[in-house]
Amino acid sequence: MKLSEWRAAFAPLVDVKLSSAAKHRIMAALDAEADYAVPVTIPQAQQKSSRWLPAAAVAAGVIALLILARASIFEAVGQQSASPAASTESAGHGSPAKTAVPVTATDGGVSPVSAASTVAHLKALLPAGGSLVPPPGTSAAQPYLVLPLTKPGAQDYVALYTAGPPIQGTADGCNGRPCGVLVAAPGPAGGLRALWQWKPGGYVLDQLTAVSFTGGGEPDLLAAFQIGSTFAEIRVVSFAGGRASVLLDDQGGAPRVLQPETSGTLAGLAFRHNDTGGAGTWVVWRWDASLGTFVRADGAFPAFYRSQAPHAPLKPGGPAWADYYAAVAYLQAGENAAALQMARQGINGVGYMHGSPAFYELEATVYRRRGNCGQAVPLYQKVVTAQQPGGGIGWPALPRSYYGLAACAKAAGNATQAAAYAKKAIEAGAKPAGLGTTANDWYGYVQAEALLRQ
Amino acid sequence: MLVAHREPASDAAKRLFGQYGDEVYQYVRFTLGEATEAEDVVQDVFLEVLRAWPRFRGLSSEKTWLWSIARHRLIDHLRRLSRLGRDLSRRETGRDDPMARDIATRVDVECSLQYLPVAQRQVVILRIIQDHTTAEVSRMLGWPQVRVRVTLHRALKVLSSLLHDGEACVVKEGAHP
Repeated sequence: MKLSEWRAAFAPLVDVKLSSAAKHRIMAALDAEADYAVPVTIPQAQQKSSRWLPAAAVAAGVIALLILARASIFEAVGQQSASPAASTESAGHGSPAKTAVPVTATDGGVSPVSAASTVAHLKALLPAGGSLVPPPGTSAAQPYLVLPLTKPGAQDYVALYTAGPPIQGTADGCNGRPCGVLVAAPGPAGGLRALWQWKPGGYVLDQLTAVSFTGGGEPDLLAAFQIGSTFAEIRVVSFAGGRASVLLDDQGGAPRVLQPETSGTLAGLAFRHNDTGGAGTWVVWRWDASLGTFVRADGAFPAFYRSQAPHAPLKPGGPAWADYYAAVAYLQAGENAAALQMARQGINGVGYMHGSPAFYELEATVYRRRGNCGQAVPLYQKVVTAQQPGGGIGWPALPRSYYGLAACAKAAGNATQAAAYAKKAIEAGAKPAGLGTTANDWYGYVQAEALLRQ
Repeated sequence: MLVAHREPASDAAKRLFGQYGDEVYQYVRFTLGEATEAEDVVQDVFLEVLRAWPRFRGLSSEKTWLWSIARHRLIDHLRRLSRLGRDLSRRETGRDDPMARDIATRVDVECSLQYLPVAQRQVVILRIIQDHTTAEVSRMLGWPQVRVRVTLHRALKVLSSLLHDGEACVVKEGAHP
């Protein structure tokens, strides 16, 4: 038989199409999915991101890992309440330096004489009133680290220092005072020259890590600081060739840095980040060798989370918001089953007043996104009926649930009910004014407003 | 070619769904041999399109990109079925589909597809039913063109014997409730 004859034989199958009910269901699922999309601003140049660093390159590029302030987010969240507000309040106030693993720190003046000389040179580079603070793993006699930042085998110096008045309410940071970072390299005439400084400005050091993100021979320096209770900044700086080059400088609310992934294909950082107009979320950065820049790879968070979590098991109750945002990340990555599992884990692990409404809402939203409002609506109603979403991560559940109910009503063709629920979502979303305009309180509000306009 | 990024993901997903939804459904359904499961997979495909759209760089055509998503989702689904111990061959196509019951010929040819290995099934769907060129199928499946041709040749050989023998998918009156 010729191809044309085969086509004639199979012609009846050409008419097989999706039923209109299925089309409606899929369109509703697409609408619901779009609702959950978090606006992410990526510079146009970064949108061209494509490749992961080869695993071997990343692994081979790991030079040293030095964690100063927190071993991981999971330890940090374990010390915090379930409230995002409370979490941000306490962010950055943990004890400094729990671990120090200067894997390849080299002998850069260990003898008392040369160490004293190095200290003198470092002090000369500090701003007026600054004083060196020994990084963990070092001593007062040698209050600095020696790392090959500029080229393989180089002896470059990383020092912490403090300057300025004490930070109110904490003994952390650098002896209760703002921390700064100084990176110096051998200069002419036997002295040191400053390569880079991050001057203290109400900062509390959250993390300092030396690791090769770029896959080059030298490690890059990752520093993360908290500034006050609601703002933080993270920088990754390369010193290759003796010149400081900031590879990443990101600011946002309460970032919490996970340990950079250095053993697999992901070289990145993740932290909680409240974008204006977006939901609080986990953010993942990865180095794109072809572009020579970090790019956002939030979709990789589930894998990242899985690779990190075993190192620091979650503690029941404490890290509810970490669970919650991880579940949201799963949802955004399309891993509905994992999102559901995480939501149920959250429901089992926390009391109602500590966030379970948020997990109910999340579970309901998974169903809604699948086009299954039949299962979603009772769960949304659970949250709405209580009317008291509770503290912590619970409170955004109310506007979100109203919004979910509105979306389901709209999908069912009940425009009047949809509008009524949307109004309630707006009302509920606008209520927690005292909590500020972080992403979560606006989520239900903004979405519902859009729905109402329709 | 980053023009595509200017279009919001939800708009793009809906547009692609409107444009290719039925074709993707045919591809999935005839490969799986089951209508309801196919609808679920199609939903997953377009949800994935929505999520992946910001990463689509326009290096291939939208259609090729879409089919690569569809193919991966289909493979995932087939793997799940395989893990569940379900036999993908000779599934009783058409029994769950009221439309199909009325058209014996359709059931006949559709059913016969289920006697083919999945790879051959996909090539027949794309080349014969959907009338894509060999080059297009090659891009959609990520295969060399020669593999598409050879697979199609083998598939048609099997189908030919099945349809001529007439025993593979006999639709008997009253067979369906």
